[in-house]
Amino acid sequence: MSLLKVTQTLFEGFGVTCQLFILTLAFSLPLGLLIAFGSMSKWKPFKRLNKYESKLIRIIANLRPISLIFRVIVWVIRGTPLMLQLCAIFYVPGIVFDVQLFGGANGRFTAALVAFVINYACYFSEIYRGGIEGIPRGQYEAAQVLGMTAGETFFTVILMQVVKRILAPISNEVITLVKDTSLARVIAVAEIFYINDMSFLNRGLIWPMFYIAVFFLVFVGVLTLFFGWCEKKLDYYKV
Amino acid sequence: MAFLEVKNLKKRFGDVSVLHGIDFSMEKGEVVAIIGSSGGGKTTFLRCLNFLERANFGTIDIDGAFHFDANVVYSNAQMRAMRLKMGLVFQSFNLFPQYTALENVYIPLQLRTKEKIRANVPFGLKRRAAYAEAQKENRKIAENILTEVGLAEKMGNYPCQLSGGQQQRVAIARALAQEPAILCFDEPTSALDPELTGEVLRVIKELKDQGRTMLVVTHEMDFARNVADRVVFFADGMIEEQGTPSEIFNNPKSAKTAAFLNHSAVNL
Repeated sequence: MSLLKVTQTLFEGFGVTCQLFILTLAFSLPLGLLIAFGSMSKWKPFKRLNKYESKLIRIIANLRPISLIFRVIVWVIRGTPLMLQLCAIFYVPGIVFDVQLFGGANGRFTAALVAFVINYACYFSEIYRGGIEGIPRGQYEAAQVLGMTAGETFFTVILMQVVKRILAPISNEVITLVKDTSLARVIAVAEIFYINDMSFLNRGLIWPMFYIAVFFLVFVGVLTLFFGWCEKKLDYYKV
Repeated sequence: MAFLEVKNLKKRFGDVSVLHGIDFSMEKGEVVAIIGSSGGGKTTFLRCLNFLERANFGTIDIDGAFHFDANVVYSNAQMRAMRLKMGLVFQSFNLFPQYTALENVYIPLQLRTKEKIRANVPFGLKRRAAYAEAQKENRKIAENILTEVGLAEKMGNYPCQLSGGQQQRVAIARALAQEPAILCFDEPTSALDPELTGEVLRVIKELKDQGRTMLVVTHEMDFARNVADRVVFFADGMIEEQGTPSEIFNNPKSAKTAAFLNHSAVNL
């Protein structure tokens, strides 16, 4: 089989890989910010109990339920293998609850997308949280004494400093995502490895599997250049 | 009634009382230096005046501008309006790193002008035009103030390209642009190398000559002695003693003041 034919066939799968990558980023980047705000929530509904001496009551008084819920979610998602999450999202609704959530032609792709979005949103949320909490208090106070509202403070003062701080860890995570898309193979999403298995590997042709590396290398190379460019663009200030 | 009138101001952090009832007043155009050892409540007092900390008890009055009572609940908008009457220059400058010196001064100003325009001009192109007009004016104001503090050449520079002294002068310009009734300084030269403190203190002295009302928390005893109209000595969350610089430095009445000044002198 010729190199051209193999490349053409693999490109079909690579298209799906790219779709999965782009859609995951489009949903998980904003969702991550919501999760970050959730886990930073300072709401203490039982604050009034603080006047009691008992240690147990004090623990309840200092409880931040919203933050707690989000932190538990992040712990579970970061604490279990992504491959397992893919299987759980795809199979559990049907097997356990008898609901056909991911039927139809695109069902597998949708299931994979949901799993990736949740997983990556959790990782992104921790990066955002680190970025936001790392901004010195003085920046908020300076904005405050200049009469800024909370919204103005976030958008004119804090946001660009956070962007600069999180660019490196985000780029790391994004590059990991490119390669993690191949995990969708376990629920038979027609991404590049699945196509390779069906078209070549199952027929005893081994070399295309290694040839796939070239696709990923080129993709990651482009991303690296892109993030390098972003970093240069933000080089004019230090945080 | 004095220009600034603080009555029985108290502040606690948890169980620790930091200010136990400060009575303090200031006249328009007066420059007051607050001295005292660390942990005496000087900075907390300044932060309460700027509403970065909320006092637990007491009142703050600025002549005609506002009356703050710790027992009253204020809306966010009211708090912001009161904050704007007070200016604060921080020890660590706290410039916004992503903006140039000029932007640091005019962007906060522009935000406030925009708010006023939003309230008066309903919407549409007129508002747009008003924004643009205001932007020009605010830039002009910022340029003038930066020139005044001697940074005409550095307006386009980012904070990371400026020396500590220059950064602090930008911070002073930024606070001045809001035209506060009282400009407060929280140890403005403590984060600076000795050779850079002079340029900042000179700016403060120039402001005094223009008749600005200023409240300066400082460890620079020479500055307190030579520039301030009045020196206030804080100890253990109280005003221990206050008077003219010569009274405090040459003839302290309280033993605590004398001990503090002696100790400062030994360090020199």
